[in-house]
Amino acid sequence: MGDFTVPRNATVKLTKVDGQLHLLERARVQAEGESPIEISGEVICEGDAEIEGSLTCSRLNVDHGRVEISGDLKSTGEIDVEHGELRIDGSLDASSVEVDARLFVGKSATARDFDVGGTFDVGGSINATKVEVGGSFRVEGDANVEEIDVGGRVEVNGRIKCVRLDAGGSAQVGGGEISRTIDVGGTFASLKPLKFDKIDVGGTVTLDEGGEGGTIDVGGRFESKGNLTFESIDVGGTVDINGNGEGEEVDIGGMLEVSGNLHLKGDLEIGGKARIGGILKLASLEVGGMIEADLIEAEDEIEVGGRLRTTKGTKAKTIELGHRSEAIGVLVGGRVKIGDNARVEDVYADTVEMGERVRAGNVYAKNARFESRCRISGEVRYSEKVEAESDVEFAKPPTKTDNLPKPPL
Amino acid sequence: MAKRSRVDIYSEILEALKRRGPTKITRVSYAVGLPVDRIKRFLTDLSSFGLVRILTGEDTSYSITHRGLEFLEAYWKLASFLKFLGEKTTLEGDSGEL
Repeated sequence: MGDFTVPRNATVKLTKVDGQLHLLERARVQAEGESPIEISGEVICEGDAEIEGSLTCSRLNVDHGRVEISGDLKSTGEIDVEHGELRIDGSLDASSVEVDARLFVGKSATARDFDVGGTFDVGGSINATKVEVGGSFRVEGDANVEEIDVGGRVEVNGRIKCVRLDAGGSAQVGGGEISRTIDVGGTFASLKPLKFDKIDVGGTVTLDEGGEGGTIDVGGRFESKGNLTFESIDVGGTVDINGNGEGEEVDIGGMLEVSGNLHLKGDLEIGGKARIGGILKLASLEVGGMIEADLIEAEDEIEVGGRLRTTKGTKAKTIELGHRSEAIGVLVGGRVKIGDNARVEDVYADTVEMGERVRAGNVYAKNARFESRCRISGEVRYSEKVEAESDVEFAKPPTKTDNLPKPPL
Repeated sequence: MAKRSRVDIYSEILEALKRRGPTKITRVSYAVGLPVDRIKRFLTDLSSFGLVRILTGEDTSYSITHRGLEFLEAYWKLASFLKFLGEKTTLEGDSGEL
């Protein structure tokens, strides 16, 4: 049979066409038997059409209509739906797919690229090189797509394996791996553990079971509800890790909260507040506002502008507290420098320098210097030298000793 | 799905334009899920704010301006902060002091 046309409102039964199949407005085609209808050429639909059964063709072209296929669709060439929508209850296999409005695939979808203007819904899994969707993209199963670019919302309920995910609005995945960039304007969430290289999100990121990856750059808020391994975190707003964190460096404009331990090979810089439930180990620490932890150990320097609070103490090569700052918990360092009007508890150091009007508990140091009007409520023991202005108030006179008490850290 | 505010719709339109470059109104309508006549009113608003450029020719199309891109970035940041503040205004045990 050569080219075949189904007239308007007509219903025909077909098995095979050697040529083009032309479906006019509201045409209906039924497959004879279980086998798919085989069209060697192109299928052209002008307006709405319905195909009962599966279809194979070299190309599908739809203009201004809604086409429904109750079985599978396999096209060796392109599928192009202009000003219309395509619904396939079975699976879809084509070289490329472009649909202006809506595409629904009940089972799995496979193509080199998909370009859908409105919504793209896949009931099974999807395999593709590129998926571009203007509105929303939902996959019930797994998504194995190199590049996903969606204007609105992405939802992959199964595992994702992709190179780049770019969504304007929001994206939610069921865990997996995104080997390069996650770029989302609004919110990104992963319901299972996620491997990633780079997260760049304007709004909010939530990793429900933690993750493992590279750089995290979030404008608003980042939350990991499980252990997190990373290279760097740069967040404008807040970071919340419910578990342990391990990485290179962290720079946060607002607030950091870690329920477990945080281990960094590099530095931690926080403009606002940081609260670490366990141990903080790192190279150096700079906090503009406040930091709380069970224990802080830095290889190099700790600089706190506001409040430093620990249960077990703070240890570093150098500890520097700003003017009017406050330290709760013992301080242990090579050099400890306390700004004017600050308050600290016990200090163990090689060298202690206290600015004017500093309040302190016990001080144990090789060398100590107290500026005007300091008030030391505990004892001062030193092994080399003490210098103090005449108006410094000592609860007990400083005593020289050859054996300074061992620091608790 | 919660009802979208006018600003939410502006941002969805801008996202569609950011991704596709010069875009016809029908494609914007499919992306945002609103009829063409309503989209046209929103695009006219966005154009008057300087966030969208109207490209006239055989077929009128629309593209996002650099101000539109700035708006979009600010919108997502603010939307996430507002969502966060709505969920949790203070951390547990946070005294709010520095």
